[in-house]
Amino acid sequence: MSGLFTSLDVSASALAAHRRRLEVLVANLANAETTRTPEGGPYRRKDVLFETQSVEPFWKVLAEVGGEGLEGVRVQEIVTDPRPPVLVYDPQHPDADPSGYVAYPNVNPLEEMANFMAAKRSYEANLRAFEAVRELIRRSLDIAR
Amino acid sequence: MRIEDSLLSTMSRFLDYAAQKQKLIASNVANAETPGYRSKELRFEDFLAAERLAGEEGGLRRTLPQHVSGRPTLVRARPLEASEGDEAGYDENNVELEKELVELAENVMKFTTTAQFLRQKLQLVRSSIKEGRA
Repeated sequence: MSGLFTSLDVSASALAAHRRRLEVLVANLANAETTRTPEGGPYRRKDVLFETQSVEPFWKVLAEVGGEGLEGVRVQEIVTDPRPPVLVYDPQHPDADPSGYVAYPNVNPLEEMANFMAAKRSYEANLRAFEAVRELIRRSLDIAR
Repeated sequence: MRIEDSLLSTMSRFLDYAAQKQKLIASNVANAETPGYRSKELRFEDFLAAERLAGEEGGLRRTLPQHVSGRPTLVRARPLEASEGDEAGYDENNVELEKELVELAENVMKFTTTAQFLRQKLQLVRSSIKEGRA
């Protein structure tokens, strides 16, 4: 039973990680036409890197042999897309370079939407897993009723 | 009627198994997009074999009260070996989300059914303790 509570933590870690990814994707979309950033130059597309994260404290791993393989997930790093900015000819633009080209972010809204859908599905799948575990806990409690 | 009969313990061990499996499914779903993650599964055969070992003969026996329980905790889940349907993508992750979700639904149903049976069984015991009075 206590093991079931641990798997709630696993699902929770995944929900947090995928929500983080959704936030980053939304920021990409929001900045699809941003030509000025504090770092200078146009906005650069961002994405997240996931890595596994052990959710059990060490003593628990020792005490419970079945604990192996229980891994949550976390955002390891937010990476910047190395693709170059898109150059658009627009001499009237305040950020145009001497030859009249404006560097727009390397964000493709269609690509972002596709990623957004995928991230949303992953979030939902984890929510399903979370609800399933909650159901098991509820059923376990019912036994004693 | 014996209170602690084999049916009762069989059902409770099955719940152990299903809970264990549930943990692995949650872990697999959580890591469905983690690069390099290999999906893990708990095989019923492994579980059964460990249970057998823990049986009356051949299992650990307590010869001193300070010893840990002879009944071992659950078997280790082993990482799933590449099967014929294994399609590790470009990120070397072989979790199939659909498969995990199907197993998830199946597992919840089995757990619910068994928990329900167990509850009925305990209600019988309770009823006999109360000599049939409500």
